[in-house]
Amino acid sequence: MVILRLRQFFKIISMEVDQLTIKETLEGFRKKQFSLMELLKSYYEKTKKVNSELNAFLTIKEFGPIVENGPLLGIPVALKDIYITEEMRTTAGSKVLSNYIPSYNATVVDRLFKSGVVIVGKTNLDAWAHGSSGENSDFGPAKNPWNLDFVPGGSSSGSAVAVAAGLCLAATGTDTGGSIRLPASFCNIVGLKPTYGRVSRYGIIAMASSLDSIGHFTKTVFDSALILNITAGYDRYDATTVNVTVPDYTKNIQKGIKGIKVGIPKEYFSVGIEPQVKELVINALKKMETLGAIITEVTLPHTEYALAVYYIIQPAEVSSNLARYDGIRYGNDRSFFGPEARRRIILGTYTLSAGYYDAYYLKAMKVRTLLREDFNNAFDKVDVLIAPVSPTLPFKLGEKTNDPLSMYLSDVYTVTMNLVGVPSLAIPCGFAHGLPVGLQIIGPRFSEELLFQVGHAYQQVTDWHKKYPKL
Amino acid sequence: MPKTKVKLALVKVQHVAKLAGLVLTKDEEIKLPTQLTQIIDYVNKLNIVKTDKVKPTNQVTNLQNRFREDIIKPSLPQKDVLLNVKESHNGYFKIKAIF
Repeated sequence: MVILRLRQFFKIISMEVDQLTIKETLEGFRKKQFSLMELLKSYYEKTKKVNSELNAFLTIKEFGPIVENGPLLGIPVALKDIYITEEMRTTAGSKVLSNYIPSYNATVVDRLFKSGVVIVGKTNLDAWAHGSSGENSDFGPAKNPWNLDFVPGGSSSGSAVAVAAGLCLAATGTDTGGSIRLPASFCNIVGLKPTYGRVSRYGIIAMASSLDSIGHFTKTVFDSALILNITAGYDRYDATTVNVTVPDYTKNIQKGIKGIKVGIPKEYFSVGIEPQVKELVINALKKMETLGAIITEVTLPHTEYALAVYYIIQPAEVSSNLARYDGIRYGNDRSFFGPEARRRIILGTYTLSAGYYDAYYLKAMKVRTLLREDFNNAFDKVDVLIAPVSPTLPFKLGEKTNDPLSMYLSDVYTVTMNLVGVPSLAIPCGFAHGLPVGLQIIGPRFSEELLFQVGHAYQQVTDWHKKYPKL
Repeated sequence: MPKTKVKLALVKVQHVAKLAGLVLTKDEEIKLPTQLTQIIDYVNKLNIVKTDKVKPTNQVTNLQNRFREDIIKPSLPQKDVLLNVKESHNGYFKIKAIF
């Protein structure tokens, strides 16, 4: 009888617990609705059950070590497998590192661990974070939980899938040109790309050092603020982290958006955007207007050059960062690099080689200055900008794998924020043909608090973020 | 910025690959010159942007010359550093001769 009751109890948990947010789960612990062990067991069992289909995790842990106390005690969190973890295999999604066991933790991993979270595994990704679909993983692509024939977006593919499918409450990602925002948008969850320098990059395998931003996925904007409270701040091991005070990002989140000036950059609503995407983002803007936001059109005149700038600077920095993989100190030799990494190394080596540096890299860095000026001018007039994350709906697996340039164009609305260094918060704003669509809220450097405020206000009057895929 | 309407020569791609420590596969020898030419043609659109008087952006934080106290702190134990090597000798990395 007792056993039967326990079984029923577990059934109830496994059905509902995975639809809770971090905030609700912490309340559940406090009210003793479930114990930490029950919760973790239910997540572990669900992950074991569905991972073979979704391919979200490369490593699954039943119970990681748990600290005694902390603001996020017992919250299951997954790490993109590009965050190095002591004594836990870290692959970067590449066969080059298929057997690499790091001997220390990334700063963010240490901070999360000390906050009480339980690391439940390492998630799949495009190898070295190169990709927009997850298909460049050397360990097979992760699948979109809303429709398994579609890509979940990349490069932080597995992390987005794990949160969207209810296999953890938050997951970390990296965003060098959209790698958090795009999968968040394709999977109907919240993704934050913080200001460059807000979160330490130490111990996270480098892709393009002047662009890499360290962020995370959650189900709600509020949860995103809870995680940034832990990860943000100066780190002596990363000289690009800035010593700017870390506020409690949840403190002003309820303030609403009355009187906030929202700019619509007209270049992000023109050529190449699918009509359904445009319509859903416009609807969201109308909703914000009813909440008191003031909507105005702005212009970012150099937008059309951003992707070209990105595809010079990023592969150049990639070729330099991947030069260290020689198979001597760790990992396998360079013949283990997959096709996309090889393409980018060669492209970057070419544009940096003698006689081409000024024409490509230096030129790109100059246009990068013009892009920064575009944003500075826009933020003189408005508080935040709102734009779609992707011009298209999620696409099918295999649809773009043979055409690198068309794959690169998936990032056309996201790369600019990395070049400029500003934060951007991606949130769900509707569905078309059963597939999710997201928008991004962009602000000046270190304006994360304001982005959360705007995103949270929107989520109080909409329920897109409460829709879960059927598995 | 050079115009590359002409396809990148295979020999050029092979040379760059060699500089990067990579050996092209047969498949790459066929596909890469075309793919790279497409990408380079795309980025060449920057040619029309006037940048004569524009300063380059190297980084976006505006931080300069960050120094720290030069204090010696313990580093990783030798055992941990050698954890992932295929071959070591007396606590050193063992590699092939380069000369």
